Amino acid sequence: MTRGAAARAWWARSAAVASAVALVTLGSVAVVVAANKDDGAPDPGAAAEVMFGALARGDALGALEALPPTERRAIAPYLPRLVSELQRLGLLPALSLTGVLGGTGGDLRVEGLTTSSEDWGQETARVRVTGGRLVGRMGPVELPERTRGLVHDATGFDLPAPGEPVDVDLAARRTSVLAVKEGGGWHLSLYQTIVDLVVDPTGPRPARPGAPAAIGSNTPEESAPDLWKAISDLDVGRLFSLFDGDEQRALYQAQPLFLPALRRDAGRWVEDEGFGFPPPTVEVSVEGTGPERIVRITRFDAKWRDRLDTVRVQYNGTCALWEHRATFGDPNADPATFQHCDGDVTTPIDTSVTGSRTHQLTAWTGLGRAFPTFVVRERNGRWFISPTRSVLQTLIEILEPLTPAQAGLLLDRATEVAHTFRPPPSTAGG
Amino acid sequence: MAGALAVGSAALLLAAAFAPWTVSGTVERNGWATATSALRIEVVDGPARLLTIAWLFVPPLLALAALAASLGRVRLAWVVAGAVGALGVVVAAAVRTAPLASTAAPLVAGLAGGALVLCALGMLLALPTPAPGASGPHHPDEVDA
Repeated sequence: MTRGAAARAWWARSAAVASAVALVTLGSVAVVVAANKDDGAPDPGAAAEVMFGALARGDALGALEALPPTERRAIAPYLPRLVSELQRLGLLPALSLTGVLGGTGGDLRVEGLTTSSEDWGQETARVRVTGGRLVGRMGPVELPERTRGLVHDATGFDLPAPGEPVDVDLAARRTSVLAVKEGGGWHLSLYQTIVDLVVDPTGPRPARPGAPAAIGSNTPEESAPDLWKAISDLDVGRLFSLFDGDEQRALYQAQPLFLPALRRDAGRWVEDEGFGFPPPTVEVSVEGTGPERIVRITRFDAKWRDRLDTVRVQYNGTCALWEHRATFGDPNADPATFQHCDGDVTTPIDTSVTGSRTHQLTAWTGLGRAFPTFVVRERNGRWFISPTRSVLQTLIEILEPLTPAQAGLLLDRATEVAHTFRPPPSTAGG
Repeated sequence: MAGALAVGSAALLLAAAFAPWTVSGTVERNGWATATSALRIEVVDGPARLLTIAWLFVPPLLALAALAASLGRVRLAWVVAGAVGALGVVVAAAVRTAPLASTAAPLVAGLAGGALVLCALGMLLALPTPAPGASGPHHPDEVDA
């Protein structure tokens, strides 16, 4: 090789090396910049727009991304298993979770969305939809009729049929959501919005400086007994203080709005109705290591009473036995009893035994679990119950042992639960 | 021959990664966006999270392999290329088994990644053991002096 040819080859190779170095550097910088980009939208209105857009397009991933990190962190890890179980039981279309809303053939979209936002302090804002429409048509994937019926019973809302045109004036529905700033950007908060729906709309905005502290429990083993002790004491403040403050930021912030009323109601319940609930016996097992544990109730023995009913429930880790007596009836008479075992979705709950006053709480046992599985998390040496993780973990554990043939029974029980909160029209009036 | 196959596989892997991988509602996400979403919503943790992050570095890693090859560091080039191919296989398999509607692109990426792994393994096994003190190319002035 001549000296000139060798030099040209050297320069060509050097140019290639320089290009490759530049590509390596730029590529790495691009990844790092993308990874450190602010998570969320630049303002509350944009956060709402992102969420509405994702929902309209049936983009479950996008909707999850639009949630605050602390909320989606509690939800997302459970979704693959939950969706998989619901699909196995035929309660969701097997094609994909997201094909129902948008999917191939669907073209739902939000058009002309306009919002106004009001600062609520502490990086929280209320976003009101002032204009815009949800238009297009539903995706072609049919939801099972029973699932559709359950949605109607639980919410009163009829899902449009596959392929049906949709045209909803979002402003006319006075849509209002709450957004929070987390991870450097704004996100539409599911829990803030739910809490906002529950609290009195004419009342003051959440008095955040007075929000109580998260206290938690000393150990994972104490978390469930602490919960029951707080319930037994009708100590709502203590009850809420056991919940994970990051995940339930909305609950903590809004507590000053409804805690006094709840305490007044509890006091009246004791004084006027003679309600009494001595601390129950609660034994638990704890699974796992590290900062997140699973807590299961293995034994439970409790009795509560008011002027009308005295109810005792004993749970041995498998079955719950309910005993009911009239408080001022014959103390020697045999109590009415009802037994319900975990995994049983066939037997409806007998409210004449479990007591109608607490039916909104006890109806859930019809889903085949006397008690939820508690997911507890450690923070600064204290242990907190994660409500979202607990509910999703319990739901997955309810679904796992069921066969597709039992799915209808489960929906029957779920419909009964829904009716305790939203009585069907035939009984609502009388 | 193996070099050409490897370059073709790497190009196919890269092209497939830019094609839609997952469909959520009416929204399509390519291989990078799918990985970013998985990281953001934290459905991957532990080693899977590290692999997903590594997947985002595939373009610079391929450039690194090309850089190593051009500097005569053939063994390093094949190691990096093989690692990228393995990443492609693992990430594509994870996406195909996730409860999300996926397209054929991850399958193509997985196959291209597999071909890259095979090329790299074959070439690494066929390469002679480097002599002690062996180094890369030099400036022609040094060679000819």
